Amino acid sequence: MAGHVFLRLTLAVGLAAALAASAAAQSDTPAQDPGAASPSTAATVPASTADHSQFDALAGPFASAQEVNEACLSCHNTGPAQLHGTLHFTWSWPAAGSEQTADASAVAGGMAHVANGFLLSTPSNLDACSSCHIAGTRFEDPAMLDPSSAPVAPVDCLSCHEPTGLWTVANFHEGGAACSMCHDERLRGDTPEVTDFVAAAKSVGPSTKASCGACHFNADGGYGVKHGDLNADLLAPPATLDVHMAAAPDGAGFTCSTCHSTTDHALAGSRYDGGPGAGPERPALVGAAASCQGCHGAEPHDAIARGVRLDRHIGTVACETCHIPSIARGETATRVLWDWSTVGKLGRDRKPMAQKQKDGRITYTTEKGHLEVARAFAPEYVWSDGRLDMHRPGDPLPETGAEQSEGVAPGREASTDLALIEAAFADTPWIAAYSGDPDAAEARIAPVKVMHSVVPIDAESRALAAVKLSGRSGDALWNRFRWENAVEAGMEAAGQPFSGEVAFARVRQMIPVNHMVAPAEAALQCAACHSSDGLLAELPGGFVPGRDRYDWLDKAGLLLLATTLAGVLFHLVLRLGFALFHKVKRHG
Amino acid sequence: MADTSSGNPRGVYIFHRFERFWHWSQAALILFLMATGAEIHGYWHWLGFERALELHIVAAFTLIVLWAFAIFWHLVAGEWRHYVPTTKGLWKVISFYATGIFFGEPHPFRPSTTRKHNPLQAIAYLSFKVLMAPALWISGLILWAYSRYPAFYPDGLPILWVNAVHVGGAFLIGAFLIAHLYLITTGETVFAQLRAMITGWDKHAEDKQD
Repeated sequence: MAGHVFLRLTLAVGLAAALAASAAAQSDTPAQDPGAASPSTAATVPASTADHSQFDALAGPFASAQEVNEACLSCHNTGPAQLHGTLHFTWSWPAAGSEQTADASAVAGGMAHVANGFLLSTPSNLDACSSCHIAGTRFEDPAMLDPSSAPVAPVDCLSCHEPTGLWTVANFHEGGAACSMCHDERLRGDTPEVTDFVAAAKSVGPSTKASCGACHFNADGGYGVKHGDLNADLLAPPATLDVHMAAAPDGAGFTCSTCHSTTDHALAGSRYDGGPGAGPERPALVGAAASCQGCHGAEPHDAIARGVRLDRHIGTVACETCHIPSIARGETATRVLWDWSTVGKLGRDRKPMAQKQKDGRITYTTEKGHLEVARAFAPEYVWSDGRLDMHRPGDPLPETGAEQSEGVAPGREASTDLALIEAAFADTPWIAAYSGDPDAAEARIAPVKVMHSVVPIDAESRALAAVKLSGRSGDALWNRFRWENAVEAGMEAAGQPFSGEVAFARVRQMIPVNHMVAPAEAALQCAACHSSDGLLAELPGGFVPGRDRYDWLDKAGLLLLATTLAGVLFHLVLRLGFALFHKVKRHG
Repeated sequence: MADTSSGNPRGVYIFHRFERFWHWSQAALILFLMATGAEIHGYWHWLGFERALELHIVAAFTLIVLWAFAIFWHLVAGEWRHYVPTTKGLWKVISFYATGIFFGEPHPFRPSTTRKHNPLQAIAYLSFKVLMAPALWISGLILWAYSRYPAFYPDGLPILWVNAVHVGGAFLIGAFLIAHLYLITTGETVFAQLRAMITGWDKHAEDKQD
């Protein structure tokens, strides 16, 4: 039965791919590649001045991951201090003490605070969510994310610096984390774990696609779920999928950190900062927000004759708009619908189950409700100034009337058509949306993946609900499927009031699209937008020749042409007709 | 009345060499601008949006240069006099096209070197020159500058209005062109006026000494 069938991408396959690809990723990195030096010295000159496999401190033996970290910190003793202020550690934005926090009205962003349409929110779920924290161990107390209070979460060096990503994958599974957080289907077999701490310790190096991807490729619930442009297909992509991350010579052989560079372990380049028009010319390689223009400059099209005109689009169109024509173009699909309202339908054996389509898509699970994925689809386009209007648990949804879920029956027929989903969610409120006035200098047309979700809300206040999903206690949703109890526990953890009644609302969420940059020849052509039924037909603002017109003027103009033509034809017919009777030469 | 007063079998030399060059290159450019403009506006597909836009701009600037020479010529050679509107004889021309033409009546107007165009023509051509063409090239230049130098574009001028003037003007010129192409067949013979515009010689013109 369904519960005993492996996922399309089994964990075992995932691990094998991660191993192979991370090895490739390491050698693809220009800075690390000995082949980049002259061939005669390639074999003898190491890529780094520190060979961690030779260090006595890493010779072990280690009884635990914690001991490995202590060995790292015996040399890298300021590591925790550097990491404590970063988004990777605090899960909070703006960062404490930054300029933005001086503005008291700034809404706190970051995973610790926001609500989304996937796994909803972290309050009451931190024990499971922190599987992906760089602490390398799970913890329940959100105060541990605040480095200024004690106790503070540890920092696990190998979460990012163990190059295969297997270390982090093992961390996910440590101590019985909630399987359903990432797996739609129960898997058989042993959970992965690291047994050879010494080998892992000696393998450390710069972050790799595999180590970053261990978390980021699986964000919010598994393979490619959240991001259509970030998934394991980037481990060894063809150049058609990602020109930067494909291996040379077809691609540039980048790793994540080629663009997402760090200063003192702090990475810039997050959806919370660095919109398409924000400091576009900041160089990517000195630790500022990664941007296309950081490397490509403000006139990137100069190699082609028509480049000047394309360059002039930079003030209004983000690079991604044309250069990422569709998302989830590889093997991995991305989730586009998550209907929490249908949770709880058990299988015939009275146990949680998963419904699987013939092509392997899981369209319903007892724990998560109705799910839909899409592959290779065009993103939607919005005006974005890079500022994300976020919601947190307890924030009320506007009363639009459109978003009320109409008592969707559990396990209803899967609608596989993205257009149908979009139609069903038209005019529903955004729980995360980019702001951007078309006339504003910093706003650009940018692509987003739109996530459609049916999420629990407080039936009275219409506040977005925090939900306790997993855990040992009976109030966790995935134990007894009682929404009231799960929301009660979630809202308590979030410090929000709860009326006791749960309703469901349709909401949408914008997710940025910045990766999987296609080769130039696959970029959108002019007519994709410069036509009356093009990609920007529904996006007001700007001046798009070929799209923008006054219909009344066009009609009046065509009528004028038709009338004139009819007039001269009428005259001509009369002339020819009368000429039969008056064959007189004029002027004589 | 003889065909020509002078008796020259070629008629009267009405259209000078520059005038004919101006007319025909303007005609070609306008046809091309209509075709590319319609493509940019989304009415049909021919060269592709990008190529159509590029060539539209090249042709437009070429036409503006041509017009600059033409305006200079009008002023210096005194040719502007042919376009001074007059009501004298206007009604006769209108009634000729409305009725007389069907019954083989002679055209009430005969071109000469002092007055090349009948009153209706003069008004139509004048409105082309001082209303339609300037609406097109001024709005077109603004559209071009909007894209080329966005920093200098004034906020108070809605670009969609400028575009509407450009499109509206194009429709007017389109209508002008249809009427023009038809009316040149209403000369002494179907191709008489066409021949005059090609060779410069009008067999049926009046040889007035100025």
